[in-house]
Amino acid sequence: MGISLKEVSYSYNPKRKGTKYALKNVSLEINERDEMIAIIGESGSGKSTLVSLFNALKIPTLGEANVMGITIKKIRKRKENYNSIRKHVGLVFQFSDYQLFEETVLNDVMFAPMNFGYKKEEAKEIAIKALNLVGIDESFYEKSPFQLSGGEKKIVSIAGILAMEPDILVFDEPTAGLDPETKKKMIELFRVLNRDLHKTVVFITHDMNIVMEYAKRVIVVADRTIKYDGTKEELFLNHLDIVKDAHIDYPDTFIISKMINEKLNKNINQLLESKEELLEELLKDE
Amino acid sequence: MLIEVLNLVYKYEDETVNALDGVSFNIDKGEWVSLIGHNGSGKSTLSKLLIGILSAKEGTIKIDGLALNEENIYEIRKKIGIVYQNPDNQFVATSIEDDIAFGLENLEVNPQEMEKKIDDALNLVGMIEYKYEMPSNLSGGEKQRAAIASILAMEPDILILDESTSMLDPKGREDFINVVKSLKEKGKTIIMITHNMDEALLSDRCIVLYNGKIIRDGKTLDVLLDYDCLAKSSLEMPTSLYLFHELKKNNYKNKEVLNLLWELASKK
Amino acid sequence: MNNFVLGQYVPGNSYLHKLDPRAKIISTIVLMVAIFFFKNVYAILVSLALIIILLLTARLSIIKAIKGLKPLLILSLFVFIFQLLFNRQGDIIYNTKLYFSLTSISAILLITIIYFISLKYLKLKFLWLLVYLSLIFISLKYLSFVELFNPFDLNIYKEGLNTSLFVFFRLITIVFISTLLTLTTKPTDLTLAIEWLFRPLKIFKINPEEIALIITIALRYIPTILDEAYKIMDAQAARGADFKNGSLIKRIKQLVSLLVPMFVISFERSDELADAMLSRNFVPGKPKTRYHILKWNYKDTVALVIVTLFLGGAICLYILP
Repeated sequence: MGISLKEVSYSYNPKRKGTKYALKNVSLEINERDEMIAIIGESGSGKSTLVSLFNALKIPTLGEANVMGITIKKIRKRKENYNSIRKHVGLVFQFSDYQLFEETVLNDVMFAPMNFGYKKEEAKEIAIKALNLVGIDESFYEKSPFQLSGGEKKIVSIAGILAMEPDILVFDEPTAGLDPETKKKMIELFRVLNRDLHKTVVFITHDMNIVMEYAKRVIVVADRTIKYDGTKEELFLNHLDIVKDAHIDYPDTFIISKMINEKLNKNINQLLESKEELLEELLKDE
Repeated sequence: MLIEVLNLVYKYEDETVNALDGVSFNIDKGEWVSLIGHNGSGKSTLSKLLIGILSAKEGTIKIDGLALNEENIYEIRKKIGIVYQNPDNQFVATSIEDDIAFGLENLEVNPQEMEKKIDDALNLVGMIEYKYEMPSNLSGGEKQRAAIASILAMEPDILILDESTSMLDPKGREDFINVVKSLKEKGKTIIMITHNMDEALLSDRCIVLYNGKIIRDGKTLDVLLDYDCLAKSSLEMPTSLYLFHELKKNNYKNKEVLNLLWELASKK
Repeated sequence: MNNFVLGQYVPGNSYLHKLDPRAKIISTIVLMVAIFFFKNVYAILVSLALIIILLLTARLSIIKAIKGLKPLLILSLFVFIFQLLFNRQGDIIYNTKLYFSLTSISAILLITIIYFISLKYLKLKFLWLLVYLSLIFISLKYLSFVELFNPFDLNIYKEGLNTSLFVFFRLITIVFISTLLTLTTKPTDLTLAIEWLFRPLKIFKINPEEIALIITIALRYIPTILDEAYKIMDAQAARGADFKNGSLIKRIKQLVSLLVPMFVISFERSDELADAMLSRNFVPGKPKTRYHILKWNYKDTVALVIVTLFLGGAICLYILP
């Protein structure tokens, strides 16, 4: 179960001769429980295409995708409705403006459960549960989503996905353009989802500090394919060439400890997860 | 003084509190100033007032000795260029070349001089090979550099960057910042509105806005080391300064490490 | 995406490409008017041949031009069939009986099923439509076994044939003429020319510069908006919205989830764009200089003279018996 891609390629114009693939020959396995995965890479490297294969928004041109036991292949005669997959893999887009449309916050969050055939009352119950989870209180329910601040919109749009009660959650650049406060809330939410509810959380990001602090597994996408799939420690210990080629930043703790080690001939762990840990290490070192 | 702002007050129609509440500051020619603060602190309102898209309830703005009023608003807009946050929402034409020409046409530049001005601006931002490209074909970082070119062609003294890098990836951001650095060297005055503390570190001076008021205005490193001020604005200290600050607080003695961290923070 | 901005424009260096867009627009209009003065099909066929020669000498692909016809081809075909069946003037030149029999109707059903299935795999859909229509005709004509209704008497009259051919070719010629314009002129040049040609409208307080600006901004943002539409559809599909299946009412509801975000984003965009334009010293109605200047050449005059002579000839043919 979970997500499994086998030698998947994807092209936007598969019929055109000499077509360019947005994604080439990608294989990966993602468990439906307890994973915390960061997908990193430049804009246009194919990250967003990759995650839209996870919930059958895109169908592989070549190869085979299997999500929650359902095989997604190109050759299908009937118009396929992949809602059973989308219910299990929730995809949160970068811009909440792409998603919000109802007159009230509550109705907007109810949109997904209603699409999945729940009755109005049930959908309302589920929506309220999702809004509670993200910390949006009752005073917001009847507000128009368009009156909210950018950060609040983002949080509501996440509730709209959580209302599908998915096992796997995929976030496309969840912290980009957010103020530091909402950013903190978002990361706190990741922890709740992952540690307490044992869901798999996948997030695309450019912020390597977040990757270092929270991700357990890192997937590097560059040149339209997966260049690395493994632990962050292994990536920064042995694959700095990949980091460089993919135009990825280094985490602050890594840069600073590396510089201290090189210039002052010290031996500080370069793979510390947060600045607080680095601080402790420096104090201990003295 | 290139920019003189005195006691500026502004209120949006449907709001009860002032978006800007008695803001005063001066900016010298050639300075690189970061404008930081929480969401809704009044940063973007300030940039709209500076260019006369909004007009202040009280207070005065003088640009290059010229008071901002109905009469010389166009004269002042010639001196200030803004690059906005969303790379998609600032192009008027179907090609980069024509987009740069849009500003020049508005300034009634002689058509014979336009091509040279367009090429010069594109060379400054390293985008000459995109001259005939359609904006929708460029990446975010390329769009923002093209947007700078459109403004540079109009030869303003002051460049306002209103969260211009917030939607870019690290590579696009780096390329963009490099262009800004080179403009600073050419003597342009830069006002950068940002949430990114690593970017703020690059400036000479930081102004912190909180609920429409300036709560801190000083040298960048001093401001970014002011823990209380940053916390109040829910801003995060840059990692190098955070370590410096915390180590000092804990009576850390190793001068070499402290120096190195300081150096890292002040390296532009 | 680029298709929407460039339209049908094919970059090139031919004499048609080099003509001033104003000359091209005026010529196109003059030629179209001339075509309407022609009363018989031969004059139209000669004009069509001339247009095709122009097309070929400008090294334009005739296939591209035919593709441009596509949206109107089916319309012209139906106009043709309609005229053919219902125009009853002149002598009968062809007569046949069409049988609505069990065999012919089942054959038609079968052909229709095969037609719609095969449509998915075929490229030359228009040719296939012709084959389909001829097959239907053949079954109606020859499969008379087990008749269900009285046979239908199909009479084709001389005038009917003439008129239908005439209308058909006139439509095609006119579309070809406009295709000639769009194949060889960049939309931005068209915009400039439209701005120039609309200058007289200033009398009615309509500012041609504003019209041109609106067209340019529309061209600029169509790819962006389309791209957004796809992303919004994806975002809603990720929440279980289904734009393809379901009842009509359900699909209309789903459409709201696409249209509302599109409007919201577009309003935000227009605000931001307006700010960006103002900060770049844009003042509506204020005089500005122009980067692109249209240059009228002697060749443009020559082109105008030729098409005007053509129009003159057409009017002469119309007046003379």
